[in-house]
Amino acid sequence: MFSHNGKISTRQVTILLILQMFNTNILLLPKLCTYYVGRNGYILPIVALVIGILYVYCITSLTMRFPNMTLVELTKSILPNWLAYILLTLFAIKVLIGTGLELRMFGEMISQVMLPKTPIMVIMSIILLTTSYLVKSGVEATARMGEVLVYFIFVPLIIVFIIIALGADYRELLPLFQTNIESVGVGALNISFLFIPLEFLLMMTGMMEKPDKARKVGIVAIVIIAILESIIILLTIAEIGLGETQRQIWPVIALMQSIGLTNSVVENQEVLMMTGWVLSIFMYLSSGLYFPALIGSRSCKFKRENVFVLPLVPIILFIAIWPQGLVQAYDWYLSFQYYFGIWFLIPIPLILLLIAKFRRLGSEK
Amino acid sequence: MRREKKPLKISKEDEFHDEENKISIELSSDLDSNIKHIEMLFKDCGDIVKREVTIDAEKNFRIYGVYTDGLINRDILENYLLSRVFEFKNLSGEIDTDTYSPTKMVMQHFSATFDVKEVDKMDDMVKAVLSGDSAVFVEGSTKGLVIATRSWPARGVSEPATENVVRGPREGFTETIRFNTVLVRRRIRDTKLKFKMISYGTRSRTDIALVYVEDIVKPELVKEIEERLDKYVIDAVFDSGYIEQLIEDSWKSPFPQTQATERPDKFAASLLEGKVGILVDTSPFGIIVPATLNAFYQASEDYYQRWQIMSFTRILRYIVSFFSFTLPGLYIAILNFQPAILPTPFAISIAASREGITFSTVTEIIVMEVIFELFREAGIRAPGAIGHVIALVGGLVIGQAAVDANIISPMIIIIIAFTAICTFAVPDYSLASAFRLVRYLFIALSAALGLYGFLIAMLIVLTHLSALESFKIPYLAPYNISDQNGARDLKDTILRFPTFMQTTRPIFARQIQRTRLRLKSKENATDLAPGSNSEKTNKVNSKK
Repeated sequence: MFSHNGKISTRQVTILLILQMFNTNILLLPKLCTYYVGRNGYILPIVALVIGILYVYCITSLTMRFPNMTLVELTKSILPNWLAYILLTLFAIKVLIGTGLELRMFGEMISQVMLPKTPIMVIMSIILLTTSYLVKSGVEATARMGEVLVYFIFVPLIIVFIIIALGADYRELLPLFQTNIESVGVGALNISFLFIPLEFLLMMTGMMEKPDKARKVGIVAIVIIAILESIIILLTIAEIGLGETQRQIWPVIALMQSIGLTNSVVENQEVLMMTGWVLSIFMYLSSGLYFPALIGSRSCKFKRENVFVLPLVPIILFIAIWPQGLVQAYDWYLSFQYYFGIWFLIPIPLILLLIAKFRRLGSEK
Repeated sequence: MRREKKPLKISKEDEFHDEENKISIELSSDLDSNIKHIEMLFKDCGDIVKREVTIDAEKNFRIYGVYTDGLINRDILENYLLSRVFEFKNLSGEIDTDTYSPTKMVMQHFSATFDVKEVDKMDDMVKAVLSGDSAVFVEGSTKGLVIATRSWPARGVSEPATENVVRGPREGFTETIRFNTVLVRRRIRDTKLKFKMISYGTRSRTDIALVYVEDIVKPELVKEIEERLDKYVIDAVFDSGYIEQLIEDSWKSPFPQTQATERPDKFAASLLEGKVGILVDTSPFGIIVPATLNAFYQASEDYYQRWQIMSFTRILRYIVSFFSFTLPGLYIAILNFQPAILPTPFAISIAASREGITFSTVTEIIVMEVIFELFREAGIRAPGAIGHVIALVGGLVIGQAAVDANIISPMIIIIIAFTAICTFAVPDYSLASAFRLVRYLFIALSAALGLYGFLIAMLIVLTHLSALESFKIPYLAPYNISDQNGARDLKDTILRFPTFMQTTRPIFARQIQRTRLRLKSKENATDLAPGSNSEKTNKVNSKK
């Protein structure tokens, strides 16, 4: 029988990471990529993959040294307690702000496509409370949920890809590779911030049944995401054209709207296509709520890990309603990720690793 | 101050019974004392027959028999015990009390039946009497004899009412536990098949059998079930439904966490997968644990017919079960919030059909759902022929009249009727009932938030199912534990793979007992697929 040990399998962690990275950003991604390299935007996720692998190496070099430990335990064993608590608080705040802004963008997207008359606060509160129901059920339930949702998200998506791919005008992609290296570099660095959910590996490695597979998990997840992103960008440019991709706020929604299925039961299928993203963003939000709650309960040494879940709900909502609108939320999100996104991907894991090596802490393997 | 839990007292004044209603007095070597106790215990019990017989007056060798009238086969008692006693008396034979104990002597000299045993507790004697066995007290012995004489009017084995098949056995469980154990034993003639008997219910003393295949089941599962049963003291158990609700993991969930079946073939197949079966006397439904959502979609017939047909049927079952709880909600969400999804002519057609309807779509749906539930309940409770009339009158007459009177639109009738048919296509009644309940969540959230609410309802249900477990097995297994058991469990899910490909038992079985199909010998055949051996053998032979 399965034991309730709070452990999740390698496949479950891979799926969770994929779903966490497949968030609202994907809907904006073609616009962002074409901003840097025009019609060659689809190469950016592939180049960003190299930077992503660097993130994975930095994080997993630290976490695999301390198997069965989350960021909470390993920082406490590496740093003095007061410093560890500061670091953990910063990580929790960072995740909460990212989640709050993501929630706002999600709310705006739903408001625009599905519920124009419903107050955005209602939209955001409901998804957040639903998320808290999942989070309160624990990490095993969350991981199982991810394994189920992955069918609901990617099976329809693959069908849509095929339909779009069959009717796309690929001349829109020509001429190929006409861009300068500098733009590719800057663009790839910015696009690599889409891999920020990799920082959840700092927590999840300690919950894995096989923590030694953490590196492989991270790499597999970002390779899959990079391929998916490239396909989406390529199809968006080919289907709706470069100009429209740069003009639209949500170019991927415009892509969905462009699908015309003759004699089908459904006429405007973009609403149905949105369901995939709703499910995926649900998983991102659940991680954004779960890990700060876990940091809180483990730092306070509470037996129950879900004590902080409900108190965090109004905090995330408060962050979400702070921006004036979608444009400001998006600007804040990009700026926040630009200035603070990288901290827990490279510098802090590296510093902690160096201290651990210096103090000969953790496993040398 | 916290109050301590008091043990369940059956009767404060009863000096013969303990707190679990077991008889606390001991068997005495003095027959008169035992008779006195039996007379007091069975005072005013008109169905109990008692008789004292003196076998040898000189040696004061007496026996005292007790049984429940109507629960026993009197032939056994009279032909194989009493007649021999009287025969012995008439012949004035000598009894040898030096070689045997008094009870042993009765067994050796007078009892011409295999099924007789010594017991040393008054409680066991009384329980035997109330279960249909005959109890014999013997002078000078602190032990009593229990002779198996159970026989009562019982319903015979008949076709299961809720799990019909086109192809497959027509036997169903009955209310008599012994018949049911026979039906299972006939299918698994293995000494490893165990029936662990438990008496449950302080007053009903219902026989319960924990059924499992000893070397396939995980021992911790059997232990877990026993522990959960041990947790409670209940006065009576009248059906397996009582046990089901006492041992389930989450009482809050509407979803069944144990699988009830009337089919012995399904029951036996589950035992060979490493599950534990529970049979309850007086219940024609056996329980199987652990239960996963996938198991509820597996019908017995799936394994008796060709895999292509049954895979198609399973896909259909999954689709219709999805519609059985989502369709009304989806209709509300689309019609009220996102009508643009629909093709324009279809949307216009629906709008035209709603012309003149006073009520909102939500009201229409809810009213029709409630009316349909009413028809269903009335149809079940009403006597046979009237039940059909209610369904006919309800479905056709009232439905048509409501449409003609512009109370509801024809589309609503189609939606509700289709949903109802979908519900009946779900193979398990308990699961279909859960879907009926969940449907209202979808209706409520879709009515409030359209497709977004529909998605939220979907997420709530999926979250609930992801968190739900049955005896520590995830409820959505094997879909959400696909990396366990090498993903081989997925071969019997939405698609039913051919029998020869299903070589392993699912995750419920012990690791070392996972193989269930293999080649008998690799000398003659190397491929598991049927038919391929003969071709290969023929080729080899022709080459030779």
